[in-house]
Amino acid sequence: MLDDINLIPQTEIIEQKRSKIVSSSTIFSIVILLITLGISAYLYTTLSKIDSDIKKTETEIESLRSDIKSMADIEVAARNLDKKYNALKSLFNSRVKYSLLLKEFEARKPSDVSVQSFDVKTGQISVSGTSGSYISVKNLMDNLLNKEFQDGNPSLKDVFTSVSLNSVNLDKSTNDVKFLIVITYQERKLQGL
Amino acid sequence: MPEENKQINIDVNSFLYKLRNAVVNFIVPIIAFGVALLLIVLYIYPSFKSLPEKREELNNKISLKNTLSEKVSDLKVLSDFGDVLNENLEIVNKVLVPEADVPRLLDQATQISQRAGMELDRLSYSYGSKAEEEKETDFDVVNVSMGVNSSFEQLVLFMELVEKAARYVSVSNFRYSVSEDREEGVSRISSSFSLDSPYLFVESSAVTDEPIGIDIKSSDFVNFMDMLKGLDYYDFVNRNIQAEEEKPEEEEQTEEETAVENTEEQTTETGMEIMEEPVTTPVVEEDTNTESLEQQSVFPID
Repeated sequence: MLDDINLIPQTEIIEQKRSKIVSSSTIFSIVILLITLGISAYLYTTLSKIDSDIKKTETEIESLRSDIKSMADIEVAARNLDKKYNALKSLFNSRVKYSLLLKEFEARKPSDVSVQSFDVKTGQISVSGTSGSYISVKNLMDNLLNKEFQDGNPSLKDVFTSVSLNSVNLDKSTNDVKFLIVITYQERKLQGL
Repeated sequence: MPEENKQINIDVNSFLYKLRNAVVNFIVPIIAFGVALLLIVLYIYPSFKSLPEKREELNNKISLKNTLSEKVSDLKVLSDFGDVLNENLEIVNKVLVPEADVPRLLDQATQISQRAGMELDRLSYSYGSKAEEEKETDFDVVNVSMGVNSSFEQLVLFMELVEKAARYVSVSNFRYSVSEDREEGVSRISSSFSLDSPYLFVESSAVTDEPIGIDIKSSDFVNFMDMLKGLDYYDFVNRNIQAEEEKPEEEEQTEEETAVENTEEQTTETGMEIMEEPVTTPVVEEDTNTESLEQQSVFPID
């Protein structure tokens, strides 16, 4: 019952409330101020450090640049060498070694087949020749496409990708079979070896 | 009216009094909030906004410094190996020459054919346009056309020598035909070659802030240079070598392409049926390429 009795005058209650609001708002604003001051200090030191690091790095860069400029002759020679080296690397890697192609074809050619003409262009060979029989022509074509061919270069086992018989006929006077075949081959198999 | 004015004055004064009291009571929070607001608007926000830019700037500078630092150490290594650098430069300039130097190229081609034991029948040259795949690197090309007589073994040896020749030469296309020498009872091969020799003039300038790509101590580079050193270098023996320059003939090329297309159209697939029923199309013995090359042949060799 005693708790319900409030003898403090109304004006005093208002004054107490106002005083409480003032003190709490003061504390809150000072905390906010301190936080902003803290953030400002952090940003100031961070930015100052970054600025100082940038200046220090710029000084080092200038020093390095002067070192590099003093070796300009060597740099030019090195760049020239680099360009030629890269150019030559690409040239040698893309060069087709036709000596290997000739050897591989010769290895796969049956002994009774003789070549009359051999025309090599990019990725394609036209071969005309004579043989003792149709079977030999067939053997030549089979040998060229045989990936298990024993007497050839193992790295060139699948260098020839297709063989097309363009024409074949029998020369009755000599009993020779004349043929013309068109062979396609993989250039990349003959490159960079 | 005077009564009403008096009442208004009393109300205004009362309001101002209350306001002054409020301001006096809240002076500290007001000042603290004001200062905080000023700090946020005038310093914290602009600084916070510029912080990533500053950090990026610093990172860029550090990255540049590292690049330059590496470059300085690379240049010092190159400086220590100055002789090796010059020697390598000399070698690459012999392999990929800076200018066409056609007489030397023709002499090299002649020497290769002689070394292979071939009989050189004709020799001519032309300045080729840049090959399609080589346009990126700006190569210019000298094209040498050769006609030779030899045996098959000599032909293979010639190819090998071309592939081992110091001045870079590549066979772009070739053909050969076999003829029987009835008197001696041997077959001879008549071949024609088209050899391409690129040349490249490089003139670099010192670019301070860019790194040097080459590492002359790397195993790749050393192995490659060893390979170049192992090539066959030909002395310039015959300085008076003569050959006429060919002009490219576009019409002939067009005809050639048409002929190839026709050949492809005629092509039939391989199979037993064909073997059992031989195609009666006669073998085409005529060779337009040979003919055209013969027409172009301008340099008979004794």
